[in-house]
Amino acid sequence: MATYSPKHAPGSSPQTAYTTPASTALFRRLVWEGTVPIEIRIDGKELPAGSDRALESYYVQAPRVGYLPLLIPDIKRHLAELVLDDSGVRFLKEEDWWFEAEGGVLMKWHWPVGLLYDHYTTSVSPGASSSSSSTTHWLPFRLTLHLAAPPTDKLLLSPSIEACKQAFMGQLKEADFLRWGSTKRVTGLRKPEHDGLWDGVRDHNFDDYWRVASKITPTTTPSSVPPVSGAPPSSQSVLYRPASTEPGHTGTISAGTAQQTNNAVDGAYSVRNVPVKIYLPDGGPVIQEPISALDETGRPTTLGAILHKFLPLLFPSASLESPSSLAYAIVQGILPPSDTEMAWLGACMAGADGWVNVCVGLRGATTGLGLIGL
Amino acid sequence: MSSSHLTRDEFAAACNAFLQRPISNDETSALRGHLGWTLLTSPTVSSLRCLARTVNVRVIREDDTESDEASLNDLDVEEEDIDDATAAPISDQTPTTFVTVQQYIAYSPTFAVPVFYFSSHDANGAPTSLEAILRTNLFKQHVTRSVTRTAHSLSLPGEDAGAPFPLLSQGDHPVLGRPCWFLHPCGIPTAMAELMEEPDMSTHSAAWIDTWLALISTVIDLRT
Repeated sequence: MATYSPKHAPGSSPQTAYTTPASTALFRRLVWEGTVPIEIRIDGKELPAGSDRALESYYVQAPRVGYLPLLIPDIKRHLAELVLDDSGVRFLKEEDWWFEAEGGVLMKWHWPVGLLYDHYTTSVSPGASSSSSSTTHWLPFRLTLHLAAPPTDKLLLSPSIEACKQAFMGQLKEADFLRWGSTKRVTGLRKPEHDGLWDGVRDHNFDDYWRVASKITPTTTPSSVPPVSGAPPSSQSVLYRPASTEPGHTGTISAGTAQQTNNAVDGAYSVRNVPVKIYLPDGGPVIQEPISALDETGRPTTLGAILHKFLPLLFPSASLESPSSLAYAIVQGILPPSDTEMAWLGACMAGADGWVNVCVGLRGATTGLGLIGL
Repeated sequence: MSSSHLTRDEFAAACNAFLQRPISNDETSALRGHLGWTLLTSPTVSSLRCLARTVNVRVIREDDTESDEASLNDLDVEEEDIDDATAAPISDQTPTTFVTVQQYIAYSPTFAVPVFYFSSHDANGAPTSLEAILRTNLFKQHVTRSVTRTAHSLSLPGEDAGAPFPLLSQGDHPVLGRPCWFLHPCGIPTAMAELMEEPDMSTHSAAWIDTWLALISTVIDLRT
């Protein structure tokens, strides 16, 4: 689950800069500051003679919005160079490195760390693990670093930061296209702004990233659409917080109830489509379909509704909490309620690449994708 | 069926029509790009489909890393036709090295058009670098000569940071899930709209993939 750094507690955040409602800025901050604790060990079988096998692991608190290639310089300095002797270090080839989670699950270079973790935890069914079914069972996220023979057919060709940046920018532009029907917003950025987006991710700098990203990301200010339940979706989500989210952070935030109507064009509910990918467990495919902010009746599309629509056998109703649901859905490490609006997720809970990643896991000991049976 | 875009269902219908379309013996040499395709369906989500085929492409150039810089900036589109000669029947040529290329026609829900994906490996099964791919006759030679290359993408001349997408980049295959190379589809809808203007085209489902392949063949040599 995402950890939350107290130094960015909402009360102390100077979040008025981007003319976004306070609640939007808060959730963007929460997503940005989310991290995954990772334990990295080098595969013992690949260590050359002369290595210091006493040094076992390197621990890092990795930003959810970051990527594994960004961690490599640190891992090299603090683990590989200490474990290997001088001649071992000399022959170290980072381009041959690759990571694997327990159970032989390959970690993709071009997926954000938060997605790798969410997809891993939803894929490894709790029922399949005899030791514990607790949600913290997978913490820290234990990764094995292999120093040679990468399965290149399943990875991007190299773990380079440049390849990762390219993939990131590609995703960002595709998200832009889905939202607005063109990539004019991203391509209209000046070169330093363009680079600033990636630099913000690389340096894990919220302000650098959002200074630019706020120009291309919609806001949650209710525009032409009155909230269905009488309260803005953001306040609803703050107050209705499932027990699984981090403790000690309950709904005391005054909701972003500002009713500005002057930015309908940029509003989260004005986008053509919300960039959403649904990840199925156990190596199942990624489902991507056009998901509009509003349904045919003009009401906001909800998470429960889209999961019921695309995975009706796993989600027999639009209520994710219903006992008949065979699966659950995670976004940025938390279980959003069924009536979470997709447009709101797009504005507040998307990754740095602009996409809302919904990871679906099977409940209880039920395993096997045969159940999806689409 | 729109002339510029397809829904996922229309794409499936167009693929079926394309596969069922008879190709006469007279046409086989002209339509080699149309041969060998089969339908691939995701085992878990049956609405996820693509067309797939495997071809061998020849390595037609030695490792010319030294002269790359000069030739890559050489925008010599005049020589476009030379590759027609190299694509002539290869039966009696001395055996050369081959690279095996898996080609896919998959659907992009973002751009609502088919996308050309491929992955490639050498005789030992090792994936080939972009550099090595460019030494084969997979790409039309005028493309090979004019593109700007990084280790992870190809861009056409004139594309810079301001251009929306590179011509070729890496991304997850929508059906197989593993990273592949793909030709960016952002220019496809405009071109398709123009090509499908002909009156009897848009009513003919198979014509969609036919026309789309014609478009792709301006960049990829599909006759290999």
